[in-house]
Amino acid sequence: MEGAKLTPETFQQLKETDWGAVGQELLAFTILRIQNYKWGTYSRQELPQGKTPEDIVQHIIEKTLTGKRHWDPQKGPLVPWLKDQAKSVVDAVYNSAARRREIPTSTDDDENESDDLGLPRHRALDSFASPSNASPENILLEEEEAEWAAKRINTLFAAVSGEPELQQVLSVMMDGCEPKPRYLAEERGVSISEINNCLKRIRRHALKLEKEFDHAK
Amino acid sequence: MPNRKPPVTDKDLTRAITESFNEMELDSPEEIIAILSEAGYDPDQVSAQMKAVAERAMKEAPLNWRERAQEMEDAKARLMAFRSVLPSSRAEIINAIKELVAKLGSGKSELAMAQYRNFESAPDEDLTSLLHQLQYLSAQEDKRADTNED
Repeated sequence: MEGAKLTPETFQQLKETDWGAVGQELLAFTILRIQNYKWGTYSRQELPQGKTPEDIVQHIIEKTLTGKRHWDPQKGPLVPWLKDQAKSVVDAVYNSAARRREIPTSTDDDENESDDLGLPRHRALDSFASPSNASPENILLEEEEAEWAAKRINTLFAAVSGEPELQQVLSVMMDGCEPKPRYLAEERGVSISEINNCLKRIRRHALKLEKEFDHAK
Repeated sequence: MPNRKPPVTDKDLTRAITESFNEMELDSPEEIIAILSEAGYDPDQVSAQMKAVAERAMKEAPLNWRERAQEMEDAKARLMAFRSVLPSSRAEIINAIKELVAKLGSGKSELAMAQYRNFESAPDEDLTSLLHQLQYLSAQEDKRADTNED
């Protein structure tokens, strides 16, 4: 939330925070999320205007300490809140690119302004929800994306074929289980930490394949 | 347990898998260091850099200015508190100044005295101001001495 008042007590807590350690954790979190999206979205969207994960983290730290983004200690601890801030910035970039075609809202300068991290403000339309957007170009893009996703899924399943516990996690996701560790754990009847381990292993396979795709290009 | 519509296409499944990756928890500091290193960062450098960013932001924070302003207000209030114990006649003020200069020694009182070399012929207002400054220095000196004794 922006614009809310930063109280002296909250500011004191922020001053006492070990920003070296928090900054490391927040940067690692942001890197992971960007890698995840790069694996999972066809657009291979990059951060805008040459921004880096560090820029995102620094931006969030600055806004928090100057009170432009307001952390309320009553509502929860600092680090998860900071991660939510990073999440919202990264998601804004990748979700819009993954699910939608972006078109400018209007020619008004105000509406085409960038926010202070350089993310463009666009009105996003689901290109396939509206028949008027089902242009030959969009249909072709959709086909390319489907082909890309099939290749990605097939190679991932092939990579985990010798590891039944990883296959089972993917399988419950295919059955429609909410893809959060606690629900996957419940569905599989194992602990959350076991699911987290499985997801980390699946992710390692996925990123390795990602590198192989990149080399093949 | 909330279930949702099973993914129909490979694209849907890719999205669900990406979501599951996004939900994973970072377990340990070692894991954080490993992620940073794998991504080509020097973790120590990251730590120093983020600390520097935070320190700079704290200095620029409006609340920091407010704290500074409050400190200045407090110092001003302490200085003003001496007004109530000011001697009433000009002769008494001059005597009090001399006593404080002797107590503080030339080193400590030099700065305050620099403006009033011939203080005995200075106007009443300037004498009062000089006495304020010397009383303040003297109080600071007493406070420092108390702290050292403790």
